[in-house]
Amino acid sequence: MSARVIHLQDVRFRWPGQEVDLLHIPDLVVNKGEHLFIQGPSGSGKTTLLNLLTGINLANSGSVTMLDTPLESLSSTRRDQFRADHLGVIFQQFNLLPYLSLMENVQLPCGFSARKRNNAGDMRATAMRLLSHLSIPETLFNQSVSKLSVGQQQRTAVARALIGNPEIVIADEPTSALDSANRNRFMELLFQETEEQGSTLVFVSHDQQIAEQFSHVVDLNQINQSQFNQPQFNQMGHELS
Amino acid sequence: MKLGRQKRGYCAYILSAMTIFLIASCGRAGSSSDAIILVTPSSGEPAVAYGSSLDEWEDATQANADTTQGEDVTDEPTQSTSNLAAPAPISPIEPAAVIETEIGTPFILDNVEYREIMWDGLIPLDFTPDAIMSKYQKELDALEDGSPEVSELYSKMQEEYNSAPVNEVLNEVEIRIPGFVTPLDYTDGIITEFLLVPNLGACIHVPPPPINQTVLVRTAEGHGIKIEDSYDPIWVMGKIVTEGTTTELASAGYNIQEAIIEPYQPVQ
Amino acid sequence: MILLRIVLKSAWHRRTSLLLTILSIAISVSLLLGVDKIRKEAKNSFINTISKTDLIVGARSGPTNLLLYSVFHIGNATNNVSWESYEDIASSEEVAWSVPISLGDSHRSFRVMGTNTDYFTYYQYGQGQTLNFAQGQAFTDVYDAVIGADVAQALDYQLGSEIIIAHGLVSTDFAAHDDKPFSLTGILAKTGTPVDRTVLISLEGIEAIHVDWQGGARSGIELTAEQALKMDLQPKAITAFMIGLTNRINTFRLQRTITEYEEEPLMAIIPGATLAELWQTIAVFEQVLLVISGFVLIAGLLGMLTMLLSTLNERRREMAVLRAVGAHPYHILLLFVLETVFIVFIGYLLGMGILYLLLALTQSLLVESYGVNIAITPPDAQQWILFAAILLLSVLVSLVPGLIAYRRSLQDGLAIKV
Repeated sequence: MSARVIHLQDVRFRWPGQEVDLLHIPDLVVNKGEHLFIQGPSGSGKTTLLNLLTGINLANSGSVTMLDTPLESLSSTRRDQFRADHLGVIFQQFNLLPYLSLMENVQLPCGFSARKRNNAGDMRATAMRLLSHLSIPETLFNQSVSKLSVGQQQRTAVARALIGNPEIVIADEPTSALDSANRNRFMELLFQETEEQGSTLVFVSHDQQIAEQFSHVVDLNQINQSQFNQPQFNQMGHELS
Repeated sequence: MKLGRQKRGYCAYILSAMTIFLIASCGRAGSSSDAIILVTPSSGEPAVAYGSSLDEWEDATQANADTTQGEDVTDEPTQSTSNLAAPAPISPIEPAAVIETEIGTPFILDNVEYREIMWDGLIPLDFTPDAIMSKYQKELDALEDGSPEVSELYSKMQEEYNSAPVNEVLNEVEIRIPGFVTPLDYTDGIITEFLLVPNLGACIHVPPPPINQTVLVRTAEGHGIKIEDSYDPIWVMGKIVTEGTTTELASAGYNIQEAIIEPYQPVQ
Repeated sequence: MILLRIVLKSAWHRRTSLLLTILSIAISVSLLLGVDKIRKEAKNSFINTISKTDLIVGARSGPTNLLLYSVFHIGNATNNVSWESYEDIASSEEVAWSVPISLGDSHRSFRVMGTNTDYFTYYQYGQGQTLNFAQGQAFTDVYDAVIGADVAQALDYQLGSEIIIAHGLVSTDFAAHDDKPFSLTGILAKTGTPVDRTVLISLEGIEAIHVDWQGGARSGIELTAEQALKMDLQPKAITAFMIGLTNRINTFRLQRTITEYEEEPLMAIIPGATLAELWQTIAVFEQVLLVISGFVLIAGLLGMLTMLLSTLNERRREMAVLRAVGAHPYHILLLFVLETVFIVFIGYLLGMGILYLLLALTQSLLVESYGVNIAITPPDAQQWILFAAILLLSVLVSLVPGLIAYRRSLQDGLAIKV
């Protein structure tokens, strides 16, 4: 397996009905174990880029290769399974299912991926370990998620993203809803855990302060050659006022 | 692609409508065909009305007993009559031969040959409306039109028709006859014994048919009729038996035991 | 399977609103099954009540009416049949046997029927079964009584118990023949017919208790029980009588004769035929009831659909999380299908439970008031098919929110609209 964990080559994407490409990325490489920060304000197509990276959408042309697997060669079901097996995803907020307990939320990915289930071994123990590392008090483990603070929720999301040792962790603005103290703690623990597991981290955010903590920083507006670059557009290609 | 999924949604709606229909029809109390064919008792003649009181009835029966006393019914088939096929000259008392020529088409079921017969075939030949009519023709011609004697004569003729006996020729013959059901006995909602009559209306209130226009039927095993279907016409197949003689009121009548039942389909 | 766990947990999380939905489905199922059960049981009750009786004769009214009051003890006669007419007709040559009956009195909400001992010989029910005595024997004395199995059980009577007949159908103190008590001489074995709920006394007994009654109330001159015995207890009128013929071919003829009997307006019915008529009439009502129940069920399902659709927006985030974790849109669809089937399944079972509970509570009441015995039996094949059909229907219903969620999850991807 090569060191190139993610490789985008001449990727173009537009939503149906759009006249011009929303995204045109000639080249983007992420190596194993790297922490990549993608900087991009809302509307710059970062969500679309994440959709491409996670296999939700297919590029119109070009190649998105993850772990030596070109995503365009996979059917949508296979792409979903690929995501289940090799990726961990963290959202900005509402990461957790309200009707599952903390432990159940963390173990959720193992229900969709045999690979993760096998990697996790004793799922309960692994989940508990991850949660402890992420400074979640044990008393909360079997509680409903509504009892958690936002900071705790986000850190639990990290645990969920990491269970089963996925090779790639994708985080979409995970700190936007956190205050600075929580944010720092979050970043510290995120780095710690991803390094411990050897996962590659792709972190998307508009917050430039965080960018300083990353070794590899990319500005989406710079790597995106599409004509939509300057003005701000929403996903449907309509200009935001 | 998206359109395909929408179409799928519409198909789902259609399927659901069908399913609702399925549920509704599951609960229906059984289906019955709407085909009703009235099998009239006589060929072209209107059904006769019957006398009313006990007294009149007794008189008529007495009169009938008088006229038929001493007659040997089996001698009759030498006459040719209107509602039966033209017979070949027949030597008396050969039931099989008589049936061959007089009664209708054979019908085979399970290696048994049934002779199809209509209700007028159940009337002995000298009691058919034509026979009675011709018997009284001269008398009728002699009377004035519209006179009370004419009505009286007609009443008398009706009485004679009413009290006509069974046709002994048919005894022990395997026949196939259509008709309607007046239920008598049930077993668990299945009718096992009934009276077979030519008209649906004859079941309840309108003038009852004469003895020879009713057949007491007992169904064979597995051939009972469901109550829900009791208003539909049926074919009855079996060996018809004519009980007793015609002189006493209580003992005469057609009887079929172990009858096979089939639904009657109207011929369009 | 992870999806099933998710469905169950998600359902439990929203249990309050789901409970209401389940309840509405349960009630509609109870209605549907209840109607089905009652019609089947009612039919069975009717069908096995009388057999081998060729004609029933009563005062002229409607055929169904005569059948109902003479055999099922439901409703009342409009007029009586004089004893002379009865004897006249019963002595016809066509008649093999006859049994006179007299109705109108009651004993603690059970009907009292006056008849003679021929009733025990000739009355048949079911598949030609005659009445058997579980204890004791028929009446021999004027003040003897025989009761059916349900009466004995309900009132806890034994042989020799005293029975006061009430005048009319409701037991009251002022309309009771309490000066002339009857003594129980026989208890009949269970038949599953209205006979079980009947008190039988002799025709003379009926006469004796009414000897000093004029126009529905006690007259001034009261007679004691012994004094009444001295009176002529030959009945002057009866309510109806049953006939068996020597030859069933004569059925129509005799029926016609009775209908045109000059001495008195009478009517003769062929029980089998009238029962079939009753059946057909009931069938129409049955259909209507079933259709109504069907609509109630559809209303319940639509309510469920509304509930599911209304939650769709809230659950978008839930769907996004599941997609992130690796779920395919088909999984999302399946979630809705499973949840709907689960709701309907539970609702159906609950509905069945409610029905059986209701039946258990009201069974004896139904028997007493309407003469219909609803046996509590497990569901028959037809009802299981109904179950399957309803589940199938619920799957179709679930496709509505399911497909919407499916499409949306494709469109939304991981984007959560905050």
